[in-house]
Amino acid sequence: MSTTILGISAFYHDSAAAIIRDGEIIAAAQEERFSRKKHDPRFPHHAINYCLEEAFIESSELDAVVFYDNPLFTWDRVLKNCMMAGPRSFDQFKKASRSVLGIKMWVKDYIIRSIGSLGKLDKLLFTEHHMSHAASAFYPSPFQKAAIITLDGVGEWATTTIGLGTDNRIELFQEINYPHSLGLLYSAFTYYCGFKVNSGEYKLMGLAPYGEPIYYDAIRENLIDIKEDGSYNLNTEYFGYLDSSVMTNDKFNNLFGGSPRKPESYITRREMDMAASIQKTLEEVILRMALHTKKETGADNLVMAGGVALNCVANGKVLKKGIFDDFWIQPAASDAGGAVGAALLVSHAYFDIPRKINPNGRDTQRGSYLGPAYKPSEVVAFLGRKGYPYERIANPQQLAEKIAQVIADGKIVGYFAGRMEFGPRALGARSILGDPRRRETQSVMNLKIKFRESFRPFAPSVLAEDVSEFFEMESESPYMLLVAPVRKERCLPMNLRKFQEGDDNMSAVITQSRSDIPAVTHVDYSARVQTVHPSDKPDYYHVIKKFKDLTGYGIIVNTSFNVRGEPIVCSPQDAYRCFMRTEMDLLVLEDCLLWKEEQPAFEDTEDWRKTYELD
Amino acid sequence: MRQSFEYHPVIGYRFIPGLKARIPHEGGGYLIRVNDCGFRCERNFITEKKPGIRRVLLFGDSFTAGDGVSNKYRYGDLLEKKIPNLEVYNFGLPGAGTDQQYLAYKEYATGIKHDLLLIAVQVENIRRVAGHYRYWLNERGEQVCYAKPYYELVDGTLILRNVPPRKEPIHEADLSKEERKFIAVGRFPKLKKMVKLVTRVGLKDLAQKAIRYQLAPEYNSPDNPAWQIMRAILEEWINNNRQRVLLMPLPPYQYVEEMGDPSHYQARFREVASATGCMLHDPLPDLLKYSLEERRGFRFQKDVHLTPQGHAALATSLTPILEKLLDDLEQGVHK
Amino acid sequence: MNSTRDDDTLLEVTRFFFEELMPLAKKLQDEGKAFFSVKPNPNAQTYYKKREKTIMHPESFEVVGCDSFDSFEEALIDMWTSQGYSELTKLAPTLLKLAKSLYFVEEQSEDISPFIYVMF
Repeated sequence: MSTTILGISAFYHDSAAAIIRDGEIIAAAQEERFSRKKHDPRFPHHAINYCLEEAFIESSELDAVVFYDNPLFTWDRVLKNCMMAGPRSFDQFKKASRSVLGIKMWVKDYIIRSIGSLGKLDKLLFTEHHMSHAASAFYPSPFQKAAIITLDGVGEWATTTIGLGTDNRIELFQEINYPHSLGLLYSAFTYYCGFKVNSGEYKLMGLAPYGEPIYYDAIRENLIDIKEDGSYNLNTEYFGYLDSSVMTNDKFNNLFGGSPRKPESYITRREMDMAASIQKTLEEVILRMALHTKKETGADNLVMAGGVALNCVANGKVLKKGIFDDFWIQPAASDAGGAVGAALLVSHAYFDIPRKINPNGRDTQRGSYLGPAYKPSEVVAFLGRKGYPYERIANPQQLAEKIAQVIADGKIVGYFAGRMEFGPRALGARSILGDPRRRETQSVMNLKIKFRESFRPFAPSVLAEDVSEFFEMESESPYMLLVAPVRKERCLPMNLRKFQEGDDNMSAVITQSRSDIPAVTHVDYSARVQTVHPSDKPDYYHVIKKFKDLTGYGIIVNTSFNVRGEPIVCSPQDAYRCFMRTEMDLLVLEDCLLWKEEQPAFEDTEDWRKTYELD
Repeated sequence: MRQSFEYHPVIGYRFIPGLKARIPHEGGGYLIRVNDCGFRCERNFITEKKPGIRRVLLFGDSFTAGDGVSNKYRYGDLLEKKIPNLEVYNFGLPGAGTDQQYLAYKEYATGIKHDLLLIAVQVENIRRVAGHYRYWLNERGEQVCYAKPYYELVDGTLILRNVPPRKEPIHEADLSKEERKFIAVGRFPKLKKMVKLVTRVGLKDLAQKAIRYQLAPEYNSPDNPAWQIMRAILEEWINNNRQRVLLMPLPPYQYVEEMGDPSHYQARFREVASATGCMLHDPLPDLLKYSLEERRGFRFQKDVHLTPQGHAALATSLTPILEKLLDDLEQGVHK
Repeated sequence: MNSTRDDDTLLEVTRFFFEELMPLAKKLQDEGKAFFSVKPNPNAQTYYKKREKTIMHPESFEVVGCDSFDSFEEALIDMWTSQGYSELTKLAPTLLKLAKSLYFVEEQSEDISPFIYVMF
């Protein structure tokens, strides 16, 4: 008899569901991929449906259903926060009472209405928010024992936790509580720099290398006190999140010399410097915290989760510092991963199922390819019904060769193959691919395909065995969670004189070749690396391998298959729509190839620029 | 949600072969597994039969395919559990008329060895038989009209039309006024507005009961053109099949819950059985033995398809009939 | 929810906030009680707090109060009493009322006839 657990995270951001059987992750997906609403916080009807589909199980046959946090404690925090903040917090109370008291508290009723059952237990289980994060980081990791750090905006009360995982057991022994939050601090800067909270943090990190950390001292002196052990407290007088719906207030604005940047307006030196300053602060906290955690636990390895753990620049610094022998980060580190963590925690801590560690030393996240796949027969059924012309290449080697040739010819390819990724990064299942050797790839992809800000760098997918040929890095980075420098001998000097003299125009920097793989080399000569191992995703590995055969480079550009503001595509229908809306040249839907010039005129029934709110 | 069906050049469509999916539904969602021929059946269709195994070929629409419930809860699958050594090959095709079910039989079943052919005709299917087009939902949730194959009766002979049916959707505006009459709506156009109104005020069931709802007037007379086509299809199908045939009219809930008078359709199906010599099983009397409350539970709150309880009741009604028929066949009582 | 119900609920929320919650907050503030620190403490050695519950036992997966309205009020009272905030327990009855008014479980669309199938 197997034990099957459904985990659900919802009602904050990135709602998701996951299903675990005998401690093994069977499926996980974010609701946004199905609902097509980015970071969808609503109840994950579709994601749950998919998870039950993948496990092919009746809801009544589930052993347990678990929600990823404790709504009662969340309500406790909401109420006390408003009591501390006073009458100005009325708007916040109005919103929170509706979302927590009216909705989240009664998640059980949503589940019953959606799938008709709470499983064999006939009651809903709950975990603690940061326990879910910790479980999502530790259980799938390759380690029998590991130190744990979780860092996010806020759970019920906790914003940071430190602990230790050993076999089945997870222990969290230290924490920092709301309103002191590294996640909220970083989000405040995200907001101030004109990006969207809970999604633009990644952009802020990408912007940091353009700037100088000139505001670092102001941050340290006024906003945050960091102790030697990496613990910190914020001065909440500078933040808006206690009593309003915005992250910063006038005091914050005055400290940094003006109002927040208007979204979509010109990015100035101030934003670049703000980004560099907060990035430096964040790295300092994380490095100190890692040292403290090492001291407290004595563990050789570290695992991390929570939204802040997606800061791959900071992760790269931790790795480089060598505080721990090795570390592993949950690729769906934000709240979505909480669904996986909650279900794993119930498996191991409630049902006492022994934890299975991958004997080959790799993790049990299965490459994070945990979402839905569509069989070639389903793709053909779709194309056939619509009458879209395609060429089918059933031989995987020939297919990989053809795709590699197209990329080497400078074309942009939409690549849809196998199970969709779980987590914010596209890892070669729902990706747009290009040639990293070409200088124009970055601007073409940004402006004609993704329709996003031109400063944003693209990431490389590199053959696992070739990673050190391109980057100063020996370890694997299968989830694109590590940043590493491009090897010095590949780098080219840049002329930064004008930029350094105060010209804010980033395009003068962006358009310069920085290395022999310019499309994936950021302005600081770093890259956010994905290593591709043949056992994780053979089809994708072979495309890169064939590209290497053709060009000598075992590396390609990989960006998520979507346009700006759109969730990554999930189904063949989504992929086709995105393909036709952009200037991609070729769409690969499993073993079917579709050329843009052969497709009939696309009748777009919606204005996607309005449908997808800019991120 | 996944695409479930693919285009078929004769039948119009079928399930995508090999599909495994879960369909969200008011009942909590259900699992479907499709075999490699494109039918929602746990078994792949094999021509030869193993010794000692009794095999039934089951045809019908969504009530037989099991919309709303997982494969294992359908009456066809329950029969396998109740009757020893029984294989049920389920050819149920949602949204299909008896004409398309017959085409599915001709395309996929004629060579398959079997003991019994069970044709489950959902009473409303007569409307689909009369239709040349049918509305479906596309990926954006919009209603789109597709052509379907259909039969015409010309001088007593069935003539197949619209094969292959057009792949692309058809705009209703592009059809002639005459052709527009042949868009199968599946439900009851004459009373549609009234039903909509009473549904809005929550009196649908009561209103139907009060007027002894005449669900399908096509059955009123043996001379009705729609019925004539339906009857011709059934007769040709039954007569062409070499094995014994069991014909089973499946009553919509209005009859199960005594809101309508079933005598008209019952008479028509008796006529077919009598003309062809096939067996007829009308499950309605068995279903009416349950309390009204239980019968209400045979359909979902909003979806009129059978719940697991509805399927179980139908299987219970069929089991003794089928068991006896199969035993008799084994002992050579029937041809 | 219809707009009349929305309006009534908003009135209830407003009344609770200004007539119950804020006066109690003021009283606690006057007594020098605070739920959390809002500023760093330069004298502190560390900001890490030792957690009371360090592991999840099977029983800690069960949260009373989220299963029905019946247990909600008592769950709030128990939580605040155990935390040493018994002053808050008097808010519980009104919070139960608010929860009932705010309760919202979204309906899935039922506009489509079950006889219209998804083809695409």
